[in-house]
Amino acid sequence: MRGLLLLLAALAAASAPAAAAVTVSAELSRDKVSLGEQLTLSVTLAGDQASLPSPRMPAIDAFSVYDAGRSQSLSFVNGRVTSNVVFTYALTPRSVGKFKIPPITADGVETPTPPLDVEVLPAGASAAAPPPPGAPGRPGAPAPSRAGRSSDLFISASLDKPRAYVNQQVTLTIRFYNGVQLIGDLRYDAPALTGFLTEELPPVRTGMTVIDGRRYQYSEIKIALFPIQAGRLKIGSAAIHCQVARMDGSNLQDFFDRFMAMSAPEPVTVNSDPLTLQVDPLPPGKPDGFTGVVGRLTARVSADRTEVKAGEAVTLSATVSGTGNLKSVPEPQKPDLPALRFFETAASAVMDKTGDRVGGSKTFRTVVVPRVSGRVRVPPFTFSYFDPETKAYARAQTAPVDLNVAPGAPGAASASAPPPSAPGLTAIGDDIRYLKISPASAPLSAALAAFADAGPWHALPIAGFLAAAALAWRRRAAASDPRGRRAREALARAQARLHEAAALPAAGAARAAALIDDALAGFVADKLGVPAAGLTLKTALDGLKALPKPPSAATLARLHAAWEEADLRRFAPDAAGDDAPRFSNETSSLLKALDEEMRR
Amino acid sequence: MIAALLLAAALAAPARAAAASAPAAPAADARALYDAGRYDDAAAAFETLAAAAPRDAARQYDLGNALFKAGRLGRATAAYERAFALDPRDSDIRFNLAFALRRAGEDFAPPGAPPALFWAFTALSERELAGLHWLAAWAALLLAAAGLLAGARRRETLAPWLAGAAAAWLVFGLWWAALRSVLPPDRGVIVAAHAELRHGPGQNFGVAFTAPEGRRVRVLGASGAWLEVGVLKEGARGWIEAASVERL
Repeated sequence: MRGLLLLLAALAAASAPAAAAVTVSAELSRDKVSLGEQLTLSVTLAGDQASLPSPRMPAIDAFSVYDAGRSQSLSFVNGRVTSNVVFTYALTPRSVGKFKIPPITADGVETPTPPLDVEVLPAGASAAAPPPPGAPGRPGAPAPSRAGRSSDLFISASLDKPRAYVNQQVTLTIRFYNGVQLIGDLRYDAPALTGFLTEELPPVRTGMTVIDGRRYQYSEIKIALFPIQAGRLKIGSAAIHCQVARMDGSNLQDFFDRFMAMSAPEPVTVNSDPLTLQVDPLPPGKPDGFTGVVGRLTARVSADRTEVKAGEAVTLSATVSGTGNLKSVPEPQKPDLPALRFFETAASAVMDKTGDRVGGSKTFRTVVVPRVSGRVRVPPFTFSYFDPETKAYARAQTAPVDLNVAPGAPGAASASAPPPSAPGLTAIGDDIRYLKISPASAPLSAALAAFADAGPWHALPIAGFLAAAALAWRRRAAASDPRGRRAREALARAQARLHEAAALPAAGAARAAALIDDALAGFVADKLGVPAAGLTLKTALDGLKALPKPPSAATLARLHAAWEEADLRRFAPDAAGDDAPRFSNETSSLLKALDEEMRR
Repeated sequence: MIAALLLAAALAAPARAAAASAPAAPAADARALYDAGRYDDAAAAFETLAAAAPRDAARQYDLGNALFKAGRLGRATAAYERAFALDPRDSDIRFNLAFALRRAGEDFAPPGAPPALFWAFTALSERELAGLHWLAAWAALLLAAAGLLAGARRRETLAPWLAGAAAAWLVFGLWWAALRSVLPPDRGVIVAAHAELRHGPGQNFGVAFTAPEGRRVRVLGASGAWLEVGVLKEGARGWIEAASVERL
């Protein structure tokens, strides 16, 4: 151990920057990965200087990239420092397809890495790398073992559990047992840990122990391993290169030989046994937003203030804490709320390795600007993880945050929020419109509706049309048969004359007699279709008898008598008397009887 | 004659509307309940007002608002439908009806219909179209009757008027018939949450499908306490308990 301390001191002294070249190389743990799984990108920077720069990571669009730590190995030989730093990144794919990891470079690097190809398969597709070939190794066991040149020096390596889930912490303990005095510097080669994210668990613990009756000084290094793929993963051998004094004095002849022998160191290398770890895949049923965190988490949220004006900024701090590789906890998804505007999130992590369990907390700080006044609720942030103790997925969820937002002063919003890209309205909420304050009046619409409800009244125009059609037909029929029309209207015309005669006073007896005489002659002429002028009684009676439907003899006799009386009254008014109304009525009834008999 | 009838109807309609909107104080009380967030109480108050004035689109609209806020999407949609049938040109009624229908997973306008065309097609209510149809019918029949009885010269004067009235009669009649086919009068709205529609009128028939509250249906038949309905959007048909449907 003293050698290790000496080595570190020497490295510290030799950490001045050098102008020597730095090389960079990159390697993916596998070239295929499924959605929901992770792969590891190892970027190795090597150079003959103690302080190496960090790589400049390009934007890798198809992946979420998390810093998974770094490991450094140094050697100090003959005053020359060589350094090798491996930066490890966990890559979580975001979409399916074939992608390229762009070239990676760093300050002082002349040749960047070539692009790396990687294919992302759909979730559930098998993309796990096959178990590492070669010797299966010894399953993790706590018992120390001896290896190396002799029992004076040996290394043991053990795991705290032989089986784990992907991303579950497994602690690797490496102990270097030393039963002799070391000379000069020693060099420690960490085991190859392909397929793991690693996190060192300082400090280096030292102590004394007795094994098989022999007293050893030991130095213990612990490393937290997070397997990133399922299968049987191999943990390589750790090695210690050191020099010990050759104490075999059987051939030494004198003091000087013994003195030279003690001062002539012998290089020794001891190795630990390789180990294997059975890594189980995570069970199906991964919740939304799960990115592979295995451990046990809690979450809380706080706001720097809850009383705020619209347009002013509030800083929300969502902290997730617990055990597990918190570096891979992703930024919580921001809710898409029209009432709130979320800005970029900054993350900071605090590691805690108490009890050799990797954990701590990761805080995401987000600036939120309320867009509207009132009570605005920030919904909970949710982090999904897998709990290896319960073997089930779980969620750590923050409480909602209620903001009391007062109306902002004019222009206040633009002070804290970037101006919108284009002027216009910002949709905040979606809801129904308000009540009708004053009901609208639409009299025409109401009149139309009332007219539609008129019901039987709508038969009126139909009836009117039918009546008009009938009347028009009659008119047309009459126009096409003037003689028939004259015969049909004979009675009406005669009646009109008789009514006029009946209405005349006694002084108009001559006029009444003339009207009655014209009524009789006109009626018969209309019925016979002959001119009334010059129609004699004899011609009238002969014509009536010759009709297809002649009147009866009695009626004709009545006509004969009436005709003669009318002539008498017309041409000898003094003999007729003044009873014109009576004679008019009798003549009217006679003509009605004649008309009826002729229609039968 | 027509003018006299229309005048009488126009005079009578505002009088009816005034009588319907007479209880201003209850309306203010209902609005106060609504503004206070007491939506169930507001719905009961607006329901009383709407029952007193069933031809008042604003009352149906207010009732729909209160029911919507109270979480009764189906009954709210039914109230908005009634309001729309009474006053289809009111933009608030159209907006809220479309909003409620979207909540139920249905579009206000048929898929693919240009919005402007659909607006124009539904700009007149069914009763307005019926009124215009009968008005044109009266005009055409009376003009035709006058033409039959008039002389040749008067008939020539009447001819273009008669042609216009007859064309209007035809247009409004076809429009009325088309509107009734798109928005049939025997419609209803599902008022039960996740209503089950069965293969027959009874619980012993299997469930064919479920429908969300607020979906519009066409009532195709009835058997006891069950209605056979067709879901307007998907065209699926099934039997549903009558209490789960509010008929329009």
